[in-house]
Amino acid sequence: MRKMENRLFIGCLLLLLSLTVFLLLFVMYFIAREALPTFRELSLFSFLFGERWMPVDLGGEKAFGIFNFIAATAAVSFLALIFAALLSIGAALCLSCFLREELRDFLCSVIDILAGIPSVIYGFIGIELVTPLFIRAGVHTGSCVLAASLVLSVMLLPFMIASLSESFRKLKERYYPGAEAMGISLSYTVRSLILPQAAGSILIALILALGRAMGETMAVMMLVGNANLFPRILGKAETIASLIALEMGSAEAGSTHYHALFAAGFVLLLFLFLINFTIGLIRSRLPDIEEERYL
Amino acid sequence: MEELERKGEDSGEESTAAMELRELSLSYGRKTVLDRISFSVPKHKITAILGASGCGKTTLLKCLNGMIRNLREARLSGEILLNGESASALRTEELCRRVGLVFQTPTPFPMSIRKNMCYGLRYYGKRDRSELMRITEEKLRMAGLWEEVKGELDHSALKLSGGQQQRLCIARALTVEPEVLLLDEPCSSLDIVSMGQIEEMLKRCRERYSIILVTHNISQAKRIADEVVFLHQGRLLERGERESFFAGAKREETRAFLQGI
Amino acid sequence: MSRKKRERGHIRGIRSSFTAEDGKRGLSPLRREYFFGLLLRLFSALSLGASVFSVLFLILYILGRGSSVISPGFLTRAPAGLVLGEEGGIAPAITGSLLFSGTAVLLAGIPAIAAALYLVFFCRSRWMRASIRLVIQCISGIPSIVLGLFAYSFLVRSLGLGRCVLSGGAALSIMILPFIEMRAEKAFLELPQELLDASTAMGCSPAWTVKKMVLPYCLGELISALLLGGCFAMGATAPILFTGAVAFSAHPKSLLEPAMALPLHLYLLIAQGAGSLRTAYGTAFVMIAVLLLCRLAAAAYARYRERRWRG
Repeated sequence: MRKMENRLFIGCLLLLLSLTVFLLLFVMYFIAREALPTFRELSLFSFLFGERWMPVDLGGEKAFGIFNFIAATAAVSFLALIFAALLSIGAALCLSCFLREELRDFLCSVIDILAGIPSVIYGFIGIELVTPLFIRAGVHTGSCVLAASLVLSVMLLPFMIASLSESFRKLKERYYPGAEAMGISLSYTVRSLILPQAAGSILIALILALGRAMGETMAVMMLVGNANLFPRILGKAETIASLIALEMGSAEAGSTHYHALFAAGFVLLLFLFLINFTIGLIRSRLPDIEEERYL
Repeated sequence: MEELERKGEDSGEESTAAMELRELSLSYGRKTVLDRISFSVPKHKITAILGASGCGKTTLLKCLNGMIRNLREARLSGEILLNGESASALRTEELCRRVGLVFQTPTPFPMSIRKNMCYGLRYYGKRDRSELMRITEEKLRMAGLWEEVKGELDHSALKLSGGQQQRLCIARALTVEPEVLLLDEPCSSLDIVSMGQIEEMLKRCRERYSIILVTHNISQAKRIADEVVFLHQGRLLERGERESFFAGAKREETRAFLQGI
Repeated sequence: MSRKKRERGHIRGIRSSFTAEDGKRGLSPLRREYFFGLLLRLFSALSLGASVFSVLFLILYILGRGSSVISPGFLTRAPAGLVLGEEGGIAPAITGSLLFSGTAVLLAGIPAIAAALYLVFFCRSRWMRASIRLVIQCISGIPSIVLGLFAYSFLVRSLGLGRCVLSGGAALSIMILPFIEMRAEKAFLELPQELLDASTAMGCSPAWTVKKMVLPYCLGELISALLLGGCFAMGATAPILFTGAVAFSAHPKSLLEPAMALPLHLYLLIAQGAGSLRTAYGTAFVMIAVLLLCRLAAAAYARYRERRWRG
C-alpha cells in the first residue's frame, strides 16, 4: 500500500512538473504563431529596421517598423544598468564585507522591500518627483529616456544587491580567514581577491538585471514620453513593452497591427531567451556548486 | 585473510548470527571503498567496528542497512545475510526497517518528541492512540529518557540537549522493531556523561536487539563490546572476542591503532 | 591605475620590507593601501546609504502623502465623481486585486511547489535537472507584458473565456510560478541531508518523508513564498491590462467576470491628471500597506516557527 502511495505521489509530481515545462513551450509557440502572419504583408527586414510605425491608415501609408522601439529598449535598459551597477556593487560590498551580521540581515530585508514595490508605484513616484526636476532643467514635459532609466535603475537595485552580496559573502567566507591570518587588511582582500573572483557572478547579475530592465513595462511607459523617435538621453522615446501595452487595447483582432504587436513581443522574448542562454553559458564555466538531496 | 574466513566458517555461527557478510565489496566509480569484507554478527551481542577515520566504517553501515542502494554511483558486490535470509532479495525499505541506523550527529526531526516517536509507527500503519502511546513509553524507557521527558512530550525535540537528542534518535529507531541496530559513532559529538548514559542503554538493549557499534574510541569498545572487528583502508584486518582481541592483536596495523600511533 | 602596475608596486613594497632594518621595525602595509581601503569603504558605504535611503524615502513619502486620504469611506466605497475616481473609494479595486492574486497563487502554487519537490528530491538525472531549471529561468525572464499578450490571445480570445478574473489570474500565475518555484527549491535545499537519511534509515518511503517531514519543516518558507508571490501578483499591471482588469466595475460575483485592480486603478488615476492625485496617493498607500503587512506577516510567522522548533 505504501509502495503504491509512493509511486502515485512521484507520478503526481512528475505530471505537474511536465505541465509547467509544457506551459513555457506553449507560451512560446503561441506568441510565435500569432506573430508569423505579420510577415505575410511585410518583410522581416522592414519590420526590424523600419523607422516608421503607422498602424492606422490616416491618409498616409500603413507602416510597421520597430527599429526605434528596439533602440529605445536597449538605450533605457543599458543606461539603467550602468547606474544600478555602480550603486549595487558598492552596496553589496558594504553589506557582505564591512557590516556586522545583524545589521546586514536587517538592511538586506529593508532593501528587499524595494523588490516588492509594484512598478506602477515607481512610475507614479517618477512622475511626481523626477519629471519636475527635468522640467526645471529645461526638458519639455519632463519625460525622457534619462528619467525613465533613473527610476528603472532603482527598480533593479534590490535584485542586483541580493545576488551580489550573496556571492561576495561566500567568497569572503572562503578567502578572508586565510588573508586575515597573514595580517592582510579586509579592504585589500576585497580588491585583490574577492572582486576579481566575483567577476563571473557580477556579470551574471548584470545580464539578469538587463533582462528585467528590458521587460519592464509600466514604470518606463509612464516616464519615457512614448513617441516613436530615435532615443536621445533627454528626448522622448518608446520601448517595445510600452508599445504593446499602449496599442494592444486598440488593435483590431486579426489585423496586421495585431500580429505586428505579437511580432514585437516575440522579438522581446527572443532577446530575453538569448540573455538566459548567455547566463547558462557563463554559469557552466564557473566552478560548479550544485547541491543535491537524496531520498 | 583466508585464515580469517575459515575461522568464521569453522566457528559455525550460522544459526546464531543476526547478520552475516560474505565477500562484501563496494566501489564508487574506480575507487574501492570496501574490499571483500566477511564476518558475522552474533545475536544479542554488541559488535564494535574499530578503525581510523575514512576507513569505510560509515559506508559499511549504509551497506548493511541498504541505504547505499540510493546512491547510483555505488557498486555493491558480495552477499549480506540477515538472519539467514539474503538481504539482496529484500526491498530497500524492508531492509531499512529490519536494520535500524543511528547517525553520528543527533537527527531529531523538527517536531514534538511524541511526533518523532510516532513518525515511523504511523508510516507502518499504526493508528491506535493507546498503542502508539504504549510503544512510545516503552522505547523511551528503554532509552532511559522517559523520566526526563514524560512531562513534555509535546515540546519540540530540538529543545533537548545533545545527549537527550541522541537517545531520542535511538529510541525512535527502535520504534519500528529492527532486528539489528547500527550505530555510527553515536557518542562522538557528546560529553562524557551522555556517553555513559548511552553506553548503559546499549547494554540494556542487547537483550532484545543485536547491535553493531562503529567507533574510533578504543576505550568505548573495551567497555561495552562483545566482539570487535578492525577495519583498515576498507579491508577487514582482524576480528575476535573482546578479551582476545585487545590482549593479542596479531597484525602490525592493529597494534599501531590500539596504541594510538 | 592598471592592475598590473598596482601588483608590481605591491611586490616591490614587500621586497623592500625584507631588508634588515625592516625586520627590526616589523612589516607594515603600504600607506597607499590605507588610502585605497578608505576609498573603497567610503564608496561602498555611500552606495549602501543611497540604496537604503531610496527605499525609506519611497515608502515614507507614499505613506506620508497617502495617510491623509485614508478613511473608512475610502476603503469601503466604490469610486465616484464626475471624472471617475476623483471622489469615492477603492473598495471594488481592493476585492478585485485580492481575487486576482488569490487565483494566481492557487494556480501557480501547486505546480511550482511540486516542480521544486521533484527537482530537489526525485530527479536523478543531472541533465534533466539542468534543463528544467533553464526552462523555469526562461519563464521568469518572460516580460510581464508578453504574458499579458499570451493570455489575451489564448485565454480571452481562443478559449473564449473573455476578459475575466480567471484569465488575468492565469496570466499572473505564469508570472509568479518561477518566483515561487525558486524560493521553494531554496528552502528544500537548506534541509539537512541527515534528517532525510534518518527518515530513510527507518524504512520510510520518499513520499512519506516529503509529506511528514519536508513539507512541515519548510512550511514557513513555503507560506512566505506564496504570500510574497501573491504580493508580486497584486502589484503587476501589465499581465492583467487586457485580460481581466477594467476601469470600473462593481464587486465581481464570480471568477468569470472582469474586475477592477489596484495597480490599474492607480495608473488610470495618474493618467487623469491633477484632479485625482489625492485618491492616487490613497491607492498607492493601500498597495504599499498591503505589501508591508504581508512581509511582516511572513517574517513574524517564520520567527514564530523558529522559536517553536529551534528554541
